[in-house]
This record gives sequence, C-alpha cells and structure tokens, in this order.
Amino acid sequence: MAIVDISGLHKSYTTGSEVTNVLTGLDLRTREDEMIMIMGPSGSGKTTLLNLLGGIDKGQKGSISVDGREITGLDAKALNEYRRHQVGFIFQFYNLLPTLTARENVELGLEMLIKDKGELRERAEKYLRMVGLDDKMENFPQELSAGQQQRVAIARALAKEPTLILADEPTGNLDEERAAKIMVMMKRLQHELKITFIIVSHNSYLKEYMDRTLTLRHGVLETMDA
Amino acid sequence: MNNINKSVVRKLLRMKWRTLAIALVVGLAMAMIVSGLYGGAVMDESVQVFFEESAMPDVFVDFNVPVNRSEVNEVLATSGDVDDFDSRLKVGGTYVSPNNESFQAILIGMGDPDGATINKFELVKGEFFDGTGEGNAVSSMESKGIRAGEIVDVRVLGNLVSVEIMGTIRSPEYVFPTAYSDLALPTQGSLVVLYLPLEDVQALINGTDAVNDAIFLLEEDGSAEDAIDQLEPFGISSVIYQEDHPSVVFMRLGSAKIKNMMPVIGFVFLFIGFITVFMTMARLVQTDSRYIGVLMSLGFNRGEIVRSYLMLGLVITAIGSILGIIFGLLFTYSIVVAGLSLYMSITITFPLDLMPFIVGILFVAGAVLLSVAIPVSYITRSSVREALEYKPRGTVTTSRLGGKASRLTRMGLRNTTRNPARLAITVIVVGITIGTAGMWLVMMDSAWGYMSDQIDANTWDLRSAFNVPVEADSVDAGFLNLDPDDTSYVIPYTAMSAIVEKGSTQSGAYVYGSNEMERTKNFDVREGKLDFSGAVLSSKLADDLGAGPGDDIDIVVGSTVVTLEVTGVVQEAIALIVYTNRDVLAPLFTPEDCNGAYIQLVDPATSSEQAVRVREVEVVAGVLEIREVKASFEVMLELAQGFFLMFFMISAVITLAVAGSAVIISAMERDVEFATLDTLGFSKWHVAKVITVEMTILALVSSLIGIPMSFILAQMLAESFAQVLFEFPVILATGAMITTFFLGVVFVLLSSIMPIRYSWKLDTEQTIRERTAG
Ligand SMILES: Nc1ncnc2c1ncn2[C@@H]1O[C@H](COP(=O)(O)OP(=O)(O)OP(=O)(O)O)[C@@H](O)[C@H]1O
Ligand SMILES: [Mg+2]
Repeated sequence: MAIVDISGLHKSYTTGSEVTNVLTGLDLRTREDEMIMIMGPSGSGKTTLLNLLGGIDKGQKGSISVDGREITGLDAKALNEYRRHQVGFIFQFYNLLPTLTARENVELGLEMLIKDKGELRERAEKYLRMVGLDDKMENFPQELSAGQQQRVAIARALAKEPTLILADEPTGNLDEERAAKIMVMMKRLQHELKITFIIVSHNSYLKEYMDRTLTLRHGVLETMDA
Repeated sequence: MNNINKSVVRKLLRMKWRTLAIALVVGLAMAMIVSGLYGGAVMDESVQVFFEESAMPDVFVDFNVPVNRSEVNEVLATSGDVDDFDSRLKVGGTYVSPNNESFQAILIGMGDPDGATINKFELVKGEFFDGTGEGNAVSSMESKGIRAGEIVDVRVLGNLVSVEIMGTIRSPEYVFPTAYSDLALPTQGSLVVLYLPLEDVQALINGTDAVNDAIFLLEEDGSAEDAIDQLEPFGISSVIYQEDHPSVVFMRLGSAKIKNMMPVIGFVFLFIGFITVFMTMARLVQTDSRYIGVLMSLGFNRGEIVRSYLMLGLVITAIGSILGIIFGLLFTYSIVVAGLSLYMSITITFPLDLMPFIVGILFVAGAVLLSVAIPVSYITRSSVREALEYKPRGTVTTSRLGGKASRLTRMGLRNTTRNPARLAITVIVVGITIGTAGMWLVMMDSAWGYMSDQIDANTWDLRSAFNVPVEADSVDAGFLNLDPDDTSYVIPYTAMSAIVEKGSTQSGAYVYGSNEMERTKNFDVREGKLDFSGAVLSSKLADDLGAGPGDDIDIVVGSTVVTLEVTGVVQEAIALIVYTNRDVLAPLFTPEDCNGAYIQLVDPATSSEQAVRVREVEVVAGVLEIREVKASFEVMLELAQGFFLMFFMISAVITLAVAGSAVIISAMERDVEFATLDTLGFSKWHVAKVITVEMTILALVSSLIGIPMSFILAQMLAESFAQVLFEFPVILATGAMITTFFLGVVFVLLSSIMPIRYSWKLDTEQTIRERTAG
C-alpha cells in the first residue's frame, strides 16, 4: 500500500503581480516504510513540497493522500489531528523553543500523544540518547551548538514515532561521522516502526542509506539516474 | 505543568522587569479603583462608628427664646419617642486672639461633660471642666490661643467672660467647627466652640434655669416628628435631623467624593494598562509566532496555544492584583487620613468589605486577558506556514533622518521612525499617561483660580451678623461704629437657615434677603435673570433640587412656609443659597428688620482694624472678613495640594513604567543589532547614546501630547467632581503646562534606563547563536 500518494500537485506563489510556479503537476508514490531523498537546486520547491505534505500549507491543484487519507480537503482541526498523530517535522531551521530545555522540547511533541508523565520523560530521554545527547538533555537551545540543536529537532520528530517523517536538511550541520550514525539509527527505526521518511538534502553521501533518490526540477520530481 | 505552559512562564521570568512594570501599571490602576470603592466604604464606616460611639444626637432643636429647662426636660423624659437627651443654653460671642484677630465664638452651657450619654466628647488634651469658670474647647483653634491651660476671654453681649480651658475635646456636633457654614465647605480655624457649666452661661443672660436648645436620641421605634410636636409649645426656631447636620453632611460628602473620583482615575489608568499590556503582548506574540507555528506543526490546536498565553496574562493579573491590593490599601489609608484630616481626625475603621477588591481584580483580569487574547488569536488564525515564516525583525520603515549628525545619532533618529504605527501608539499612550500626571496640576490650578475668583466676586470686605433683629433703616456706618468716610456701602440683610423644597425634593440652604443684593456680589448668571423679587438660587442648590427659572420653591423655617418663584440661577461654587429681597421673606422675618450687614470699605487693607471696631458694637455677634475666608480656603487647598501631589507622583511612576515597557519592546527586537554593534567594537555607552537619542524624541513628542491630554482628563475628573461637590471650569494655565511638559520629558528619559539596561545585559554570543540559527 502506498503511504504517500501525490498526484498532479500544483503550487504557485503570488507576490504582487508576479506569479512563481513552484510545483507544476508533481507526482509521488511511496511504499510503506520507504526512505526517499529529494534533492534539487535551491529555490526549486523542496521545502514547499514538505510543507504541503505536512498539511501546513495548501496547494492549488492535485491530491495528496497519506496512509489512505486524502488531506487536501481537510479543515484546520482535522489537519491538526493529522499532524499530531501521523507527521514528524524536522525543520531546516530547527525551530526549537528557546525557553524549553532539550528534553522539554522533545517532550513537547509528545504531550498530545502520551499522558503518563513518566512514560513521556522516558521516551524523550530515549530518543535524545539515540541522537547522542545524553549529557545535554537539560540544556537550553542557546547552550547547544547548531549541530546539537539539529539533533534535538531530529529527536523531537522521531520520538513521536509517526507514520511519516518530513525532514528538511536534517544533517546540514552535522559532520559526516555524526550524520552517518543518525542515518543508521533512522534506518533502523524505519524498519522497526515502519516509518516513511522523506528527506530533503544536498548531501549526496546520504544516498547510500536511501531506498530511492529523486530530484525536484522544474516543479516535478525526476528519478535520479545514477 | 505541561511544557507549553512551562515555556510561556519561563518567557515571563526572562522578562521579569518588563512583567513587573506591566503588573505595576495594572496594579496601580486596580489600586485606584479599589481605593475609590473601598475608601468610600472606610470613610462611611469610620464616620458611622464615630457617630455611634459618640452618641451623635438624632435631632437638634433650637428654641426661639430661652425656655424653662425643667419643663423641657420633663417633656423629653416622659416622651415615649425619646431615648437619651440633653437641653442646653447656647449664646454667641466674639473671641479676640493674642495677635488681635477676632473670631466668632459659641458658648454652650451644659451639665457634667464626663457623664454625658449623648453628644459624647472625646478628650484630646487635658481634662473635663468641673466647676464654675472652667470650660472645654473644641480642638482646632489651638494656634489661635485656645489651648488647654489657657484662660481665654470671650465677649458676650458686651461683657467680657473669662474661661479657663481645662482641656480640648472632639465633639460630634462640631466635627467641623466653622463659622461660615453658608460657605458649604468646612473652613477650619474660624470658630471657637466652648462648653461651660450651664449655670455660667445662664448667668450671662440672667436666665435662671434657661435653655434654648435640646438634643436627643430616638427610641428604637420612636418618631422624630412626634417628639418635635411635643416640644412645639416652647417655640421652635429650627430643627436639624442628624442626616442634615453639617458634621454628617460633610463627612458623607467626603466619602462620596472619593467614591466618585477615584474610580474615574482608576479607569483611565486601566485603559493605559490595557494598551501597555496589549502592545507588549502583541509584540511578544509576534516574536513568538514562529514558535506558535512550531506548536501548530506539532499538532497543538488553537485553543491550547491561546490558553498557554492566557496563563501569561493570568500571571500578570496575579502579580498586578497583589500589587493592587497592597497599593489599594495604602492609597485607601492615605486618602481617608487625608480626607478626614482635612476636617478632623477620627479613628479610622476598616470594614470587612471584599467587593472593591473583587471588582478591582475582575477589571484587571478582564483588561489583561483581553489584551493577551486578541493578538494570540490573531496569530493562531493565520496559517501554520505564515506563522512559521514570520521573521521577528519584520520590515523596517527606513528614513534618511539626521543627515549631518554623527553616525550614532543618525541611527537613533532613524530607529525612532522605523515602525511608525508603533511610534504613534507609544507616544499616544505615554502622552495620556503624562496627561494623567499633568491632570492633577491642571485641577489644582483650576480649582485654586476658580475659588479665588468666586471669593473675589464678593464686593464686601466685612459681613457682620447681629444677635438680635435690628431696624434696617438704622443700620449705617455710624451704627456699626465706623467712620462714614471709610465705608463705600453698608447694606443690611436678613439671613436664616432653612429647608428648601421643590416638590418632594428638599435641601438645607441659607436664605439671604437684601434689597440691594445685586450690589453685594458680581453675580454670574447661569439661567434666568437677577430678579430678587423671586428666588435666585446658587447653581449647586438649583442642581440639587432640579429647579430652574419658573419653578416654585418652598422655603421652610420651623412651621412657616414661604413660596417663591425661581427667577434665576447663579454660578456659585459650593454653597446652597437662596438670594432674594428682604420684603418677600416677610412671613419669616419682620421686613423692616435685618440681622446683619455687608460692608464695603474704601480701603480694603484696613479690614482687620475696622472689623475690631464693628465687633465693639453691642448687637454684633460676629464679623467675617473676606480676607479670612480667603485665608481658610487657602489652608484647605494647601491640604488638598498634598493629596494632589501624591497622585501626581503615582502618575509619574506609571509614566515611567509605561514608557519603559513600551520602548523596551523595540529594544528587544533589536537584540541582534545591539549584538552586532558590540562585535563591531562599539562600547555600551555608544549603544546607550543611540537609545537616548530615540528616547529624547519620544519624550518630547509624548510630553507635547501630554499637555492637551492633561486638560481633557482634568475636565473628565472635574465633571465627576461636579456631581458631588461643585463644578468649576478647567483652565490650562501656562504654569501647569510647562510643568507637565518638563516633568513628562524627565520621566520618559528616566525610563530609558530599561532599554539601556537591556542592551547592556544582552549576551552577544547567545543572541547571535539563538537568533541566527533558529
Ligand atoms: N511565501 C512565499 N511567497 C512567495 N514566494 C515564495 C514563498 N515561499 C517560497 N517562495 C518561493 O518558492 C520557491 C520555492 O521555495 P522553497 O523554500 O520551497 O525552496 P527550497 O527548494 O526549499 O530551497 P532551499 O534549498 O534553498 O531551501 C522559491 O523560489 C521561493 O522564492
Ligand atoms: Mg528549503
């Protein structure tokens, strides 16, 4: 069964009288627990695609179904539910809450799903350990390096154990060694928890972990020819 | 606490000074509302307790002529309506102080003061009188030589009486010992009230067992009317019920004033608080909008997010309420103390009344929560992407101001206008706040000026009252022991206190009858015309009665009623007065007679010497110098000034808090700029300079706005003042204008400490890391 099924997706931005056509009839089908990388030049619309998939922006035409459910027509409340239960975001700019510690930032994403405090904490700590932040759990974002902040953001998305993880440059600030460790971990989770990953990145060395790599160009996805 | 709330609370703790400043503004607003509502209640309660404990008589009866004491007491003792009672003998006289000023005196002969069960005294100093030649004085004239241990001489009916003052006391019937009750404001230090053994006073008028006054408390279900009817055969000249007694009326007036005025001020501050909180919250929420976006992307719904920010509002409300309660009690105390000391200190009783505090907290909570909810709901309404994309540093309106100035000055100048909308709101809010401070100065100036004008409108220099009716035609300079060459006019008048009724509305008032009334004062006609063949009412009386030209009013003295048509209404600050002709008062007073005279002197500077001469006349009970009236108003206004200054200071502190929290918002969004200046090698003094330039402009503009604001607000305050006391036109005097402007500038500049301190404390490294990475 296809977890993500996008067909004929159109998205354009209008600034004043100028119209930018970003996505022009994009199609994408993924298998269950597939890990896909999307590459493409800056400004090609990668973030835009993730936003549409995550239901935080709306396209003009086309359909997006996730786990068998069409999300393009959902109202704000249903989209909220959808994001809460099925999607994990890893933002290009980590978007951590500056007033919460690393652990609390991770817990924040889980609060809606897990009611038990102990369990909540356990889960948050487990994922922070997984991304190698055992000793930084009680630090505030401003006390962390960019790479560490990025890892908190990754832990926050993973800890939800959602159906779909949308990651925008998740390893942009990580060295190859650290990135590799994280990719191995994500790979394991992909199979253990049956999570579908859609990862935007410029780093071609990530390719080896991917089930598929696509390029976004001229508003549509093209299969990478090796 | 869940993490989303935790995040918001920590945010609040990070900006603790700003939170405190906002809380201070709303707290002070609440304190004003509370002290208004509660101050009135405290005053009412204190007055109530005072009158109860001192057994303030329910009814005061004066007889036309001295009557037999035993007979009066017999009637009162056997009346089923009367509980405790006393009958006394009152005579008027004159007291001349060691520095030769003369004052009206009232001598009241009574039984043992120590065992009194009605109109109980409280000793201020010394002891009660206990034998002939001794007496007690009502405290308030100590500075004029009426002190415990002194022997004072009072002239009564041409004789000099010496009284040894055993002690000074507080008497409920003379809480406001004033000689000029027709001026309707307690002017202290103008009346000598002495209580003496009854026999001593009886000896003065050669009246064995004589009394001319009865006071009593009613039985639980006793009828005042029935009791008065029983005394009717003795010939009653006046009856005053407790609720109409000057002591009670003035006290109530005081509490009504507080109840009316304070909430008005409170609401102005609440409005300022609302805008301050709103601006701060709007900015905070805008800055946070990315994080709000993150929360939404995590699946939090709108309600939960709004709720977490409302928590922030609740914290502000809670701190504000605590400050409000503390300051509210403090203000209440000082207002009541000031209010009562304006008259006379009585013990302050705080009733257990939670209502004012609940009302205050509700208003604060409402204002704060609303000002938080509006911007938050606005942001959560936008799409998640919009929220996520929001850049905290937003767009900046650029200008090329300050071309030739130094680079830092230029930066400060341009910073001022980078967000014109916010600049506009800021200067207006700060302007209003400065206005609330200036308002007090304007009020002070206007009240002072108006009162002086009112007093100056009188054309007489002396007003003398007679002990007995005198044939009006015989009253001239010679009669008054004056040289005709020294006087410009002598105008006889008849004065009496009466109840004035229009339909079912009634009011106590003074009636002045004179055939040359229009010469005694430059009347300022508000309605109708100056036709003294009918009744010309003072504006306060006309408003109280709801009467105007063409209406009929009844003037009731004892059992006699005179009906007059109202012909005009004249502006009169405070007094309840009916001006009319002597003739039309005929049923009340023999038209050929008068009981006083207005005197205009050729040289007003000699009024004191001339007053001494007039007092030597046997029938003269007292002489009032217009100079004295002015002096006692000034004493009162000086007391009020302290009060006004206190509020001025409070408003100034609020200005500081409002201006500070307004500008710190713009400082906070420039954190990266400050950090950048730091990395470029600028010192913290350079940064302070940039901020100061901006603050100076803000200070100048908002202080300019503050001037008209102070005028508008003073007018609002004056209006609520008019409903309880008197109305006066608000005048924007140059002095008040300059002071308001100057102090506004100073206080706003002082508040630049907040943004400067912020910029100095800023951690460059952390700012750059946090703000450029995420
Ligand atoms: N709110 C917006 N209004 C107008 N145009 C927009 C808006 N957001 C994005 N765009 C435009 O849409 C196009 C795609 O942007 P997007 O952020 O998806 O690119 P991207 O592929 O993620 O680039 P990068 O690799 O640099 O992150 C760009 O040309 C951008 O300028
Ligand atoms: Mg992007």
